[in-house]
Amino acid sequence: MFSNLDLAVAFIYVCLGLIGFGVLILLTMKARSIMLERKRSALLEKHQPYFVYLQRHIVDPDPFQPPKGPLSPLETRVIQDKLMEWIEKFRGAQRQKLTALCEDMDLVQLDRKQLSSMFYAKQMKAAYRLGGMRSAQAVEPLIELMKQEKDGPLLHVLARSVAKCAEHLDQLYVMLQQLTRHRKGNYLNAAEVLEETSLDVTPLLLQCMEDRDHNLVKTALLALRGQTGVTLTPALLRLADSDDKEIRSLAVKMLVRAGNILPEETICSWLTDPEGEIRAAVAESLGQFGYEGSIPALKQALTDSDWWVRYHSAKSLAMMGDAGFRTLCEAALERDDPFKSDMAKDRIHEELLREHFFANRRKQISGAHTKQSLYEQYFGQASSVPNIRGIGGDYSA
Amino acid sequence: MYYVIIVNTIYFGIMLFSLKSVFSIVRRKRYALSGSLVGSEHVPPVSLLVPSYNEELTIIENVRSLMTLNYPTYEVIVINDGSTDETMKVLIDEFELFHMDNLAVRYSVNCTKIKAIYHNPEYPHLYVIDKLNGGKADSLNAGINFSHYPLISSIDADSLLEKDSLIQMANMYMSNPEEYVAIGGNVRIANGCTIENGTVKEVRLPKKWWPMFQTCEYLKAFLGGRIGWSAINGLIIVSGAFGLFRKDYIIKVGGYRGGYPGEDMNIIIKLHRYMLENKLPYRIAFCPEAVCWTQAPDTYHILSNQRKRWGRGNLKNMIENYDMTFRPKYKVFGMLSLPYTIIFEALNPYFKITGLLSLIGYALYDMTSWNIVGVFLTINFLSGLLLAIGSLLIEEIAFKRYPRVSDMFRMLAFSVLMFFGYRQLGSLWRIQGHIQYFQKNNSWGAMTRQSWKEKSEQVKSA
Amino acid sequence: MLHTAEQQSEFVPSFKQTVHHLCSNDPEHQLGIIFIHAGSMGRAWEGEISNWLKAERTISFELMIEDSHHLIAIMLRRAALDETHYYALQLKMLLEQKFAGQPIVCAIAAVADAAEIEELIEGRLAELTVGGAYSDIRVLHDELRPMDARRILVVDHDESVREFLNIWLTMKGYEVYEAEDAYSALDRIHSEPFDLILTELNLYGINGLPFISHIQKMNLNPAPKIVILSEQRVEQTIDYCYQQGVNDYITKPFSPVELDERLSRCF
Repeated sequence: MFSNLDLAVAFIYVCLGLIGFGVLILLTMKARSIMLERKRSALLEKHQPYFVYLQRHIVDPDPFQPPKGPLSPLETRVIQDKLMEWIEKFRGAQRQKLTALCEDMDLVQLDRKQLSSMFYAKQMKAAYRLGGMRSAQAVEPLIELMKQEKDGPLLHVLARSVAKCAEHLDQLYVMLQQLTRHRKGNYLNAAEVLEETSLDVTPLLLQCMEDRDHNLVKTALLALRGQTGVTLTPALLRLADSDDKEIRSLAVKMLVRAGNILPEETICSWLTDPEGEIRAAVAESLGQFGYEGSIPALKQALTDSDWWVRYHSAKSLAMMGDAGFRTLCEAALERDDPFKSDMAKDRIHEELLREHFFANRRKQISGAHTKQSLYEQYFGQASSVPNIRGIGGDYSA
Repeated sequence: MYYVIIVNTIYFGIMLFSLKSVFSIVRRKRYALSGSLVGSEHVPPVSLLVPSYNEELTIIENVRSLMTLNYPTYEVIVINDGSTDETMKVLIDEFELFHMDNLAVRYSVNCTKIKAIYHNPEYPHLYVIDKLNGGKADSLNAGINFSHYPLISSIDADSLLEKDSLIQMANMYMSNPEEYVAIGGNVRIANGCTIENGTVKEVRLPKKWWPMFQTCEYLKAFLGGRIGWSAINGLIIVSGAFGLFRKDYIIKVGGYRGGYPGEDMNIIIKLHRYMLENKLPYRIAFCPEAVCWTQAPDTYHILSNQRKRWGRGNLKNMIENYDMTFRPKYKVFGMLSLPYTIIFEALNPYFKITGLLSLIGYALYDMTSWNIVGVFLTINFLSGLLLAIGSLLIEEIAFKRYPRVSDMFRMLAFSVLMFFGYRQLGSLWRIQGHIQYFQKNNSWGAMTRQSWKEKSEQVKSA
Repeated sequence: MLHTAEQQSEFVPSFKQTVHHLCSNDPEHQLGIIFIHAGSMGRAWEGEISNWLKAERTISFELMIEDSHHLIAIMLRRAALDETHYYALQLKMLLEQKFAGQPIVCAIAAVADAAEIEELIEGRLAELTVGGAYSDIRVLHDELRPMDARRILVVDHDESVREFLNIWLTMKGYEVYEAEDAYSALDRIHSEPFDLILTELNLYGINGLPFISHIQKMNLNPAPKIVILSEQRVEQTIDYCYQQGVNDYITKPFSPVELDERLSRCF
């Protein structure tokens, strides 16, 4: 092996060369980034009066005037970054006014050209910026590129940008199709991306719920969160019988939460679903809707074998006013199932603690019982005393 | 001799993978994270588990800092592992915690019994678990049992998370929620930095020598190594200081293993094994943009204890799992990661010593070839230095955490110095760790902490 | 500087006359006015400005200079405030390029009738020259703050949000104070009274939820109103905040107009 000595010496030289080269690159990079940072802050300061002008007149009816005079590329970028920052912060007319300024300054045009660049990095940058400016002019090229692109970070950036820029729902639909085309399980991301749009997406989601693609259905269901409306009920009821566990759970959640008055047997049948996840979802949503008719079913669910179902049932019961809390107290006193009474006791404890803390801050509905007084009806006065054991002294920071 | 060639090839290969993926990391960092993610309902909720044992000095600051992360829904669960100091009391006093009975805690993974849960509705996302002493793994298991959310993240009580680090990880997770089972964070050394309000305000290099060596070492391990291993899905460890895990899989593999240090490596090996044996598609990844600042030991005594502990844990994990090596069933992990770790990390010191001895032996027989020894050592040194420079390059391309030029020179200088003394000590500690393992010495060793506050004051006055 | 009363008395009446004249000529539109404090360079600046404005064909203007050449007044016909601001910006840049190193203080206003200008510049022209070493564009309308202006504390870690809210809410007649993190905010609230606290939940130092709790526990009298302006859109968090008794919860991205409406609804 020592015959390779020459090779070894050569290797030493290569190493030395590479090391020198690396150090050189390191130094130049450091110097460049420091220079750039300095220039940037100088430019920011130079244009500060212009930025003040933009902020001061953001609600005035007339469009903004672009900055005068020739701008260096770096200057343009600095202003663009600032504009994009504001576009993210504002809504409605103010946002549009800033977008219009970006269009007037030809920034959109510039990045549209970059979008067809050969370099992945430049494409990505352009896609990101086009989204940041939210200009409707950018939607078509973005969608075109999405259709060609393989799965990867660029695709996600493109999707987000399309969501930000889109003017019509069908553009969003194409975007969703492209995004979920490559991989199952992209729905979480898709739903989150949909949040970026400034359009009302409900009709689109209804359309997606009819879709055969499970991914789109899941996306739609996830994105529906927070929207309630009885118009969705028929579509949701159909999905509640789906074979896909996740779809079923999401649909059921939506149904319960949307405030549909559902027949008791339907709720009971969901609460006996073989999937614990779904039972838990039902139990959780019942509390958010707060329909008192479901109290018996929830009490039954306190004996469920799944911890999560018991947990959410107790939580939901606590959210259902006096009747719910009474039921919790009863459950805590019953001795047939230790799991049930333990869970109920935990919840009662937590609720009392919370009430103790926030009672004086919340506006009390007159006539309503406090949970404390209800608790005392069941457990007697004495037992309530040791329950809230304050630790720590006066805290008036 | 071939040993050196192979080890260097692997190093360079991994480094190349790292360099290759660093550009996509830069892009991800710059363009993929949307500001709106921070408030979105679609971001999966996370339970942060903070096991703590005798941390009365730092715990308040850390918990405060953990409660101010940029993240939509998460809870902080501090697990007091039967501390013998005032940890529990300072927590209760500071946050005015109330004792809760919590009779209905599940025991889905084994842990010693939870004594009590403490909570205050004013801090709706903070829970403190008080339990009997059972070690770090046991504490984590207790946290898993109590946690309410589908993702868990383990965090050392002596580390500070950057405000955005958790959302960075979640962003990565959300890009493929069905496959990611574990994501590791980037650990950096906080010694020397100015810390204010539980966040790192100004990044500086440590002034003392020991932490400085460790800074270079961590930089090399995390940026030069783990990025590359992550690219080929062969990551063997997700740092215990900061990692994100799918709770359902952790429960499926039986939670953390107690009794020995190195539980962070152990859980990853178990995850690899489980996923590969059940033929499930999965990824275990490293997320370098998620940064966690930790306090490095700054005295010889504590540092050597830490390293001995690592050596012990490492050996235990290797002995338990050597059956996975070179079995095609275990893919990259079994074919490359595990053998690499066994041969080139666990056994590295022995090879080094025998290699050096035999080399000297050869040279003694034939006096003329002393220069060969020289050439050999130079190669060893230069290739190591090249790797160090590679990791510095990655740092400069992607992160630029150290703003000053002088910082860079210092790091370069210490990367050179590392080869004279520090690395040899590292080997020594590892061997001592192995000896301890066979002596069945299983203590955690001394680990004293300083308060962050004192720390930053020291820096200010300095 | 406007040293003596006589100087002022000669300039101001003729200025007012011009404004009056211009306003009555064009009652449909606003008249934009830019004052520039020129120090000793008055004549030279005046020439520059007039040349530049002439080259800019779209605008019709009147230029006046005070006798001691310290103060230049430019009146732009049919210019609303934003346009006036824009031209002030351009003029300032022009002057900065030509006469480097000179601090340039502009004050701008847009008025519909002469009575308004009286109100605006009453005694303020003198203030304009006091500025001294820093250059600035001041909007005279914004400085007319009622004596009983509401005091708002804006708590947000994002500097650009604070900057905007400061400009916007000042314009809406509030007295605005800023705090960057929860600790400094608590200190301020402790030492001075505020009518309203506009806060992000995502803060440094202490999390937003306990932060609210801390304020409420101070038992201040009168208790400040608390309005949340946050990136957090999670329903649970919003519910929790309302339960704790915050007055309103606004999510980012926000509309400044809506923010203003909801703030005034708090009082």
